[in-house]
Amino acid sequence: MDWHQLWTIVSLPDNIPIVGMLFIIPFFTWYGLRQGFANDRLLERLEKDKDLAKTHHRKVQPFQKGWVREVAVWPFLLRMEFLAVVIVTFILMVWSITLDAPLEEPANPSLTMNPSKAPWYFLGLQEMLVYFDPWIAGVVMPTLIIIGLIVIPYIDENPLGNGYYTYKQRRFAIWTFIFGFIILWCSMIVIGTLIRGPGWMWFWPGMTWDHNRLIFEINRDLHEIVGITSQPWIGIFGGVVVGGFVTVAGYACHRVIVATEFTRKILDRMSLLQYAILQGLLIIMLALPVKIAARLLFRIKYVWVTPWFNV
Amino acid sequence: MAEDNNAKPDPITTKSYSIHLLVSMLLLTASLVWAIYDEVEVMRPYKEYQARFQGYYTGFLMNLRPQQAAKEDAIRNSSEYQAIDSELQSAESAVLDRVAEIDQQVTRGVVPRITASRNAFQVLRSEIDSLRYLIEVSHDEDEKAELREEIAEIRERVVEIDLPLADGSGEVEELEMQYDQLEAEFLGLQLRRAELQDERLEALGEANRLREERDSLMSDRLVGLGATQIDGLIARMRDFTIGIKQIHLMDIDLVDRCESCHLGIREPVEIAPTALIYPVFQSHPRPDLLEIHDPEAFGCSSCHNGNGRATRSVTKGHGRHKFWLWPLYYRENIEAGCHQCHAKEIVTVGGETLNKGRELYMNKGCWGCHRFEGFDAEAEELTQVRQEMRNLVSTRNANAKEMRVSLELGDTAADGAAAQRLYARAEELRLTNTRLDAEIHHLTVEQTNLAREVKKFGPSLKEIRMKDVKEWIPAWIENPHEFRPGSKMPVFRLEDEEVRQISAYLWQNALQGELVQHPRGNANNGKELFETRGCLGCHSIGEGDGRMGGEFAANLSRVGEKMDYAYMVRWIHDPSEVTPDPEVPDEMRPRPVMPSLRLTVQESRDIATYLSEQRTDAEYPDADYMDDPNLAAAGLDAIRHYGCAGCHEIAGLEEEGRIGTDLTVEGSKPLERLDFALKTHEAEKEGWYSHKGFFEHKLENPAFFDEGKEREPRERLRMPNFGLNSEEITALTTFLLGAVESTFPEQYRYEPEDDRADVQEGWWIITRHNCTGCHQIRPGNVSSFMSIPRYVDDPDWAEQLPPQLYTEGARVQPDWLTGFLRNPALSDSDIHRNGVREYLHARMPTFYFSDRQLSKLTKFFMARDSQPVPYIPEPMTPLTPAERSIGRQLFTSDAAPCLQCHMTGIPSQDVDASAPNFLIAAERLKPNWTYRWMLEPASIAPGTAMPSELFERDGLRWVFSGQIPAQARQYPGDHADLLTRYMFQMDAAELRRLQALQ
Repeated sequence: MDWHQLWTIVSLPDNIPIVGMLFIIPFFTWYGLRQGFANDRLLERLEKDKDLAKTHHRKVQPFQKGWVREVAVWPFLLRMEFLAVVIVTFILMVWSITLDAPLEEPANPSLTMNPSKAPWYFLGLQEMLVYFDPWIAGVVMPTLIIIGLIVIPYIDENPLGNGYYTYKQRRFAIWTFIFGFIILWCSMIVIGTLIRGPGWMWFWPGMTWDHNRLIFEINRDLHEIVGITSQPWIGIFGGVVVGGFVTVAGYACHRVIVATEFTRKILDRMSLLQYAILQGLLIIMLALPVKIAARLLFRIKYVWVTPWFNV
Repeated sequence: MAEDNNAKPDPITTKSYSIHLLVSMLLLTASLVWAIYDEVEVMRPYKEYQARFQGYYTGFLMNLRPQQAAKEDAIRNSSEYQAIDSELQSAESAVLDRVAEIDQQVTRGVVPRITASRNAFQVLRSEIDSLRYLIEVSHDEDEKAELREEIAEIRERVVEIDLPLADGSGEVEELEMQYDQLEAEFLGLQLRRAELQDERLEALGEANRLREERDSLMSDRLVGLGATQIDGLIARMRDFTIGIKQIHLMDIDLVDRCESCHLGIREPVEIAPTALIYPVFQSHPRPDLLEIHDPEAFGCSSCHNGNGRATRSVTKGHGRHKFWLWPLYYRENIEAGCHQCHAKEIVTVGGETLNKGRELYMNKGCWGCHRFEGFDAEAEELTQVRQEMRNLVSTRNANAKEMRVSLELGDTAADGAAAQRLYARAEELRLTNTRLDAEIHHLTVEQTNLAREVKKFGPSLKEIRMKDVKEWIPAWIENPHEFRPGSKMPVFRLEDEEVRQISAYLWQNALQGELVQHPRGNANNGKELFETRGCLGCHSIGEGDGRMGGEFAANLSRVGEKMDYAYMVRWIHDPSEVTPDPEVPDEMRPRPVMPSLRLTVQESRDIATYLSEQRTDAEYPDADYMDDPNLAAAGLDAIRHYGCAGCHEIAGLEEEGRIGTDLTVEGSKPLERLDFALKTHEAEKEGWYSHKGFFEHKLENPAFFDEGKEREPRERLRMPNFGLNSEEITALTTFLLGAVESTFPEQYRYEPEDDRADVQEGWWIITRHNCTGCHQIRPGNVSSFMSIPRYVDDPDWAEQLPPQLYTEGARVQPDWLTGFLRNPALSDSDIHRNGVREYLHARMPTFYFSDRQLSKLTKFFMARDSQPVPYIPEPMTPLTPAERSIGRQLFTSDAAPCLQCHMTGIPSQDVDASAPNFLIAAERLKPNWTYRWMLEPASIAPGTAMPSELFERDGLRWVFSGQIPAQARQYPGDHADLLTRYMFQMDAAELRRLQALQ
């Protein structure tokens, strides 16, 4: 266990946000869910007690007599926000006094640093480059992520859960978020920061980042493993495999979407276009862990090789 | 609401956040205060330095002042100073009245009058000027005429003014004047003032001269600053403002703030490292270098490296962290900074460590494997010249062809004009070819020169079959340092099999020839010759404490074990004599590094006999395998792999290139490209993950970075071990650290094109031929002779040291010098002698210099002594018979018995001679140098046997200081000059006459 190496990585000013993220994200996830579960319990009470439901005027706290029915943004919300602003400013001040900007040596166009890492917020993208064609990982996927985030309000037909924490009413959205953001995006940033060392090799935390390390690794395309050697059969084979994945993944997603009475109700409210977009995004999101697993466990480089693109 | 008493109050509307707000606001305010403190104090540590410096330095100056004042007083009280001072007082008082009078006239008369008249004049003139401007811009002729009239009016206007009288009486006259009169008055007064000032200067002339004399006496005698100057410094410290002190060089975008902390660096007093408590305040230890490299023009970090802009901490300022690519050089490598601008030199004055590093690079043969610009430049030039010649020849052939075609076409051309044009073209080509022929000829000469100059580092291995003992060869290859500790041949990491293969190849591919057999000589005489002829200038003998001689060439302690006697005789007698090699034409044959000492055959036998007795009882195992052709075939591979041909001439590998990396800019190679291999983490932890650390470890043990690596023998690092000591490692590291790609524009680099370039070039030849092994060329350079016991212990032998060459360029004539370097015997028939100092046991050897090298060396000596080129001899006034007679008398006087030491050419008399013959003076020496030499020999060559103070000053001339012969007493001229002329006009007959007089 090379504690010195671990400390070097963790204490790098560059990596402070990621180390912070390791604690902050689980904490706020837990904190948000806790509030959600508390609200769910309140909802249960209200559903059981029709009278209470009629007079109840707040979604997040059990009804109390004597409370005002509605509270104004000013001062009740803004004072909290102001407090938050002050505290965050204080943290930023202390941070900027104690830690200098992590500048390194002057750039040398003839020498690439090793490992050469993107800024922390792009490490997820950089990690994706390991698993996909640069064109897919660098252009298509980021575009889809942005488009996906934009279309959320348009495909979300669930009217519940606005303005209060709830788990029960937004199970699907919460799990999609946990899977897509926390498991995929954040963990890839963590991998890129803490795990990827010289030569973008995989170093478990505590391993020494040795520039001389050599590992034997041959990545092969899936068709090579199967033994197909010529186009168009390679392309056709890849298309069939990818098509198979889409079918299976689409079916699995559909099963999730129609899992309960509640979700089926939501599905009924969706148009075909909305559903298709939702399915498309989910399938592509699922493709990422599948490809990661294929690469890391089975050393498969590309599944679908065509003269125009590789997947 | 009574029933709600137990109910909780509304947390949103009733909860107070005052405490939260208060605390966080306080925190925020505190962080703001912290930020300001951080910005003002923590990030500007130099403020603390400056405050301390101000106090310490003021105290230091206060202490210094009384000491210096006392010194000044002592000088002031000296009789010499007093004499000048009283003279000055009287000179001043003599003119006091006159000066006061002038001063009064100027200050009370002329100047007020000038002011008054100028004021009145200027009013009128500005009015006129404004009208003139209106005329210039006006387009209306009538208007212009009107304006002109107006101007005329103004010029006529009469002005009343009060003018003080110019005589200084202070009285005022009332005048009425017009424009022209005013102008004349004004100009006249200015003239008058200048006259008065001249007068004043003239009156004070003597006093000023004396004052200057007095002041220069003070400044000559006083070591350090005067009290007034120190007061000035103290005053400056009082007004010292704290802030960044920086040098900004626009053209190279250099900002150096080093002096924000190193405040004493440029102070005019010497501040010792501890004088101001902290070493950071010391003054620059080499102010002489600062004078040449003015920090305002060069900055600091351009020489020393470091991050000149950073002021936040010592580590950052010095750039000693992994993100700064140019960390401050450590003290032991500080001269590395010189090389980037002085890259063309092998000797940089003042850079002893760096020079040593370059010399080691040359003399350890690093350039055999590693190219470095400037080293072995001849070989590269030769390649270039050959290429150029090929190009020229092909151009010439193409021209010749075109010429023939043009002529033929011209003969059959349809009309006259076309024929004319074609003939003209042919003619033009003919002329071009004539020019090309001349160029080709020039290149041929150049090529011959270069071929002579190219020398491999090690001995040729083509002759080992005749030269060496067969069984010794594998033992030597396996570990040369075991046979000859400290040998320049390094220890390679060879497998036993590879040793056998290489030996076999070398043995089987060596030339075979017949050597003339010689009888044994006299070993005792050989020993004497070996120790005194000059062999020890380069070679050494003896081991450990008994070792003596130079390090340039091999230690010959065990040479008898390995070398064939007959070969040794031939080699000592004439190193350029070689067995003919059918592969190499004679004019292309490289000349050996070893020069010829022009020994007789008998002397060579004696030395060879002595050397062949230098042996131990070591026995070498049989090496019959060296005749196995299969081994030899594998040997070629091994020789190629280990780059043997980089240093040695080896049959079949004449064109072999270098196997190592080019080191010309190794110091600026990115650190990541230096292969620390498995040592990376160790280096990082122990703090030597740097260029310095890499070079030092690699030089100490070239196999170091292979440690722990799993490798096949041929995959291992090839660099052999030279067994360098730590001083040598530091020198070489310094050199390599300095070997960077300079980022400075050309004007910063030291690449002179005048005679200083000749000096740069000359040092290369001198280093390559080890001239400094025998001669002292630079003060401080210790020749090998000076380490031989007898030359140190015995004063008679001390006189036998080869001459110092400090001022050789001033001493001798360039043409003579060229001839002497070509053939130091100065004779084609009588070669077994020194041409100049026949009395020396040591002999100036014949080097195999090319014409180019001869010219460069001559230029070097001339340029170093700032001699004008070309040399035009001064005309020599012929001696009158009377002068000749005086000269003769002075020459033979008892006070200056010249011929007691100087040679005469008569063997019986020259036994005790210790100075050159006068007969060669005329063609060898420069008269003005000879003249100076006679006056002050000790200041030209310290420690010379030539007596000083032969002459003394008599007014403007020098006269003989001994008993002056009767006839000479009447002679009005300069005695030293007379003697010079006498010497330069001496012939054999005159010399005989002198001897008769003696």
